Amino acid sequence: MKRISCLLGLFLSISTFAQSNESTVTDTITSPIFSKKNEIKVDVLNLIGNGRLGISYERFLNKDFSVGISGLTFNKSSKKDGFLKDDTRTMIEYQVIPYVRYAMSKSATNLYYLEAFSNINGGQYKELKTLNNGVADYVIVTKKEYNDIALGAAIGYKLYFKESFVIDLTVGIGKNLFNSDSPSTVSRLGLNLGYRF
Amino acid sequence: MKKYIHYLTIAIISILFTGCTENDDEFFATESVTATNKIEVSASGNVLNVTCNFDRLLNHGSDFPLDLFLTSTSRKFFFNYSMQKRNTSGNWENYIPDNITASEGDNLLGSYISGIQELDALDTTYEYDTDITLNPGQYRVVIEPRIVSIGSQDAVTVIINTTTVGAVNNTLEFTVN
Repeated sequence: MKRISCLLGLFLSISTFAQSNESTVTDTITSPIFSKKNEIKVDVLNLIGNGRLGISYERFLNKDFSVGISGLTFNKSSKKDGFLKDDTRTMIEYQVIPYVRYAMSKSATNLYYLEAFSNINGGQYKELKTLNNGVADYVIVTKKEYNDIALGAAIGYKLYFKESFVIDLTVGIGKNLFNSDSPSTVSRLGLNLGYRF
Repeated sequence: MKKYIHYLTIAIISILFTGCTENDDEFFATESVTATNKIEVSASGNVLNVTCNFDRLLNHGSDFPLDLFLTSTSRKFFFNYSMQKRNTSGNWENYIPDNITASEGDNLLGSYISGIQELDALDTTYEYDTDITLNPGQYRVVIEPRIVSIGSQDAVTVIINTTTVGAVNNTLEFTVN
């Protein structure tokens, strides 16, 4: 997870660079982007990186605040098949992420934001189980189901083009609260492509 | 063009870090047990004999023995030991034997020796018996009393913490005349 911190730093610098170089004539408070209150997005990062389908809907309440919900599900079949043999303890199978965002900059076409989110997640975890065949004990690796809820925060950067299409990068981290068998932390990492209407 | 390179860089870095965060929560399928006196060393004449034999159903102080093969699915275990020889200045230096014969099991030679125990044909005992023939001199053999299953990637790696018979604190010093 230290790497996420590094990425946050890197991401902030990139965002600042983009912020100072990409102002356009549409970058005003009267931009037609503000009149569009809904946005749908597909997470291409998780689709390519983890074989997960992630879809988000965001509703803009005003120029500063928006609320949304993301859903991620499915894993690569190769990851599911190899789960008992690999060195990961848990495998997240679904995530439902309601969030609130606050725009840090007032630009319409590119901005970065702060996000608070909860993450309802579930999947499988591995543990060792001792069995007995009447003569001796033996130990095997078994998998079980878990469900948990995490709270966390993220930062992100959005870039609009043609007044409707958006690239949205989010980086953050959350902590699972209730189940000791779930992953202690969940990452909030997404590169979304979307459409605002 | 510069703008697209910028986006591409963000995407590539993000994908790389996604892989890292997915692997933070690691799981090591390892079962550790303790069973004393499973390694034995003895020096006689110019031969150092090292043996390590233990039952597949290993008694380790529990109500039932542990079935090493069912747990690890491995027909081989190993432990490491190293040899040193006193040089003419009186200092110990690493010694790699060139006359080593395994009557049971096998050896892998490097800067230390990996003694490999193999499950016998009846699937009842893991066996290792090796003779090392030495030239005259003062020698020291240092045993790592930890026996580990080999190739248990698809099952549970078994670690047997043991002690050595014939060596004080797992070290035996002897002289070959």
